Amino acid sequence: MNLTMFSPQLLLALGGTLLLLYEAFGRENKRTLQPVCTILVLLAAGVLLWLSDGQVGLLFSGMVIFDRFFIFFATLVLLGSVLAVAVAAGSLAEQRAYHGEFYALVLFSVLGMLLLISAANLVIVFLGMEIMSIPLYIMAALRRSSSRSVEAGAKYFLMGAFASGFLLYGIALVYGATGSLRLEEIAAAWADGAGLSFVGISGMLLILIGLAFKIAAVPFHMWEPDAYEGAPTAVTAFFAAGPKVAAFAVLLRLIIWTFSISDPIIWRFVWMLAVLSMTVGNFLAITQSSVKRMLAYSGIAHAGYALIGLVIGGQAAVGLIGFYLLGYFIAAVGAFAVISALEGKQEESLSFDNCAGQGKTNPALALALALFMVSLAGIPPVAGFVAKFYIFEQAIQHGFIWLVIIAAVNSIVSVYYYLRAPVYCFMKIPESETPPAPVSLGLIFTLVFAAVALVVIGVCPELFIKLADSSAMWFL
Amino acid sequence: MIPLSHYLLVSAVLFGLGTVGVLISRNLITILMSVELMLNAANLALISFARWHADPGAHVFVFIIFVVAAAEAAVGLSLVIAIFRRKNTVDVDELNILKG
Repeated sequence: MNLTMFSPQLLLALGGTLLLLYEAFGRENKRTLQPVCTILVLLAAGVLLWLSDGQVGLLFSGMVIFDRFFIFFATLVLLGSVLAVAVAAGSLAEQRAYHGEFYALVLFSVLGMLLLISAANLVIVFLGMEIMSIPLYIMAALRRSSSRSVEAGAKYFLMGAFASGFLLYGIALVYGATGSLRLEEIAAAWADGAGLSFVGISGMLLILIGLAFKIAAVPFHMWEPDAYEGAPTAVTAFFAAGPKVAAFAVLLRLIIWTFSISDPIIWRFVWMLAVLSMTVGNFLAITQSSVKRMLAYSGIAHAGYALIGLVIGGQAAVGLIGFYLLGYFIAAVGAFAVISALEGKQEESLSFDNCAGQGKTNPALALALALFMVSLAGIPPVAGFVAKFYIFEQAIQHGFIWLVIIAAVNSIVSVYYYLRAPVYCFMKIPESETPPAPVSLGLIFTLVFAAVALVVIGVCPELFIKLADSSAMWFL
Repeated sequence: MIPLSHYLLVSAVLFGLGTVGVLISRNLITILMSVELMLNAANLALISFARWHADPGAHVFVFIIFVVAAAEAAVGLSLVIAIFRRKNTVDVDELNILKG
């Protein structure tokens, strides 16, 4: 067994523990050093990940897997976390939500995500899910003095714990039907029809329901708008980046690799989730007056678009969804970063009316917001367009015409609410003078990185599509 | 000997009770207890399947689930306390600032 393949996870666990001790016993410069250390640990984990590129293997007697799939999705998670932490460094203190534990929690949560992506055993799926989620509940309630934040934490916790109940019962039933917790053996039992009993199928559906909660697919999405709106905005940026990507990764591993998608029951279930998420997410987003809440509903709609990749199925789905998530999470983190700056010290979340006049007082931020919204809406030439186009094109090639028609109509509807924020920024005359937003170094880094990345991916997507496709080469 | 199906029936009933409890209960603490019931239903199912398959692996999984459930309960209860301090109630219907 080669421990270097597990070193990113080990480094994150160690880093999180040390940061927690530093918070307890450290004296000076905590507020500057903590975010810097967190970002360094995340980057170092990324470097360790790529150092082992090219190797594949099962570790800890088949508990954890190391393969190209893991490298790709773990990179997405680490990248998203770095961007979110950079935003948090400035904005948490500004919003009176500064607690040093936040940074340790980020590292623990990312550790859970990495475990989840690298799981080769249902025990690790459950464990990774919980290590990822428990810090997230605390983070949502980070602004302890605010009823909104605490309420967001409680709602997120209740739905999250409920979902893990479903996941766990599903795991128990699948174990009963197949006699193994190892994904490899479950896949084999599934392929020769041994797992296809009533117990096996209901177990699999329960696992899918548990995961659908985590990616916030309709009708299991109720927690997402509340958790996103109530949590401090920098935390919301982290929610949009990490957990969604990790949950999609484990969904891919389970559905494509373990339970084959060709199974008609799963196929119909995923189809229904995709259509419902797109439609309900989009139409509820239209009615929102808070930009943050609108983005939460748009996140549900985007989960729906990404699920189209899963409906297509096969190895191609991995590249499609990987590339789609890459385009989505960069734009979402960027948008939440702008919102956190525009909110400033304000307790309530940013409403469209607050946006009025920002084009004049904060032109750079308003322009960045416009770019991210354009990408989320899927308008060329940025990443969001290419990602959507790629997924729709593949769906048509595989004959899912109806699905693409529904998705395209939804896409057109979504342009209305995405462009509302920039329109308010640049064209609406504010009732009162808006103050200039506080801008920190981390915020500038995140915005510049996200904007450049979206344009680069939009202009030359081949390289990134190839990278995403290569992640389908997993160890089997 | 008690057959497997009896254990599974009990576990399914427990899981159903837990699910219904989460859905209809209005008290945060009761909801928390219902979630624990769901996890324990899964534990019972795992243990009985493990006996049936004569496989010790799942027994270890059950211990891991105990630990996770304890961690989850710790965070859940502290959130309940935070809610109680803000609102002086643990009724979920009072969690109504965020909606729409």
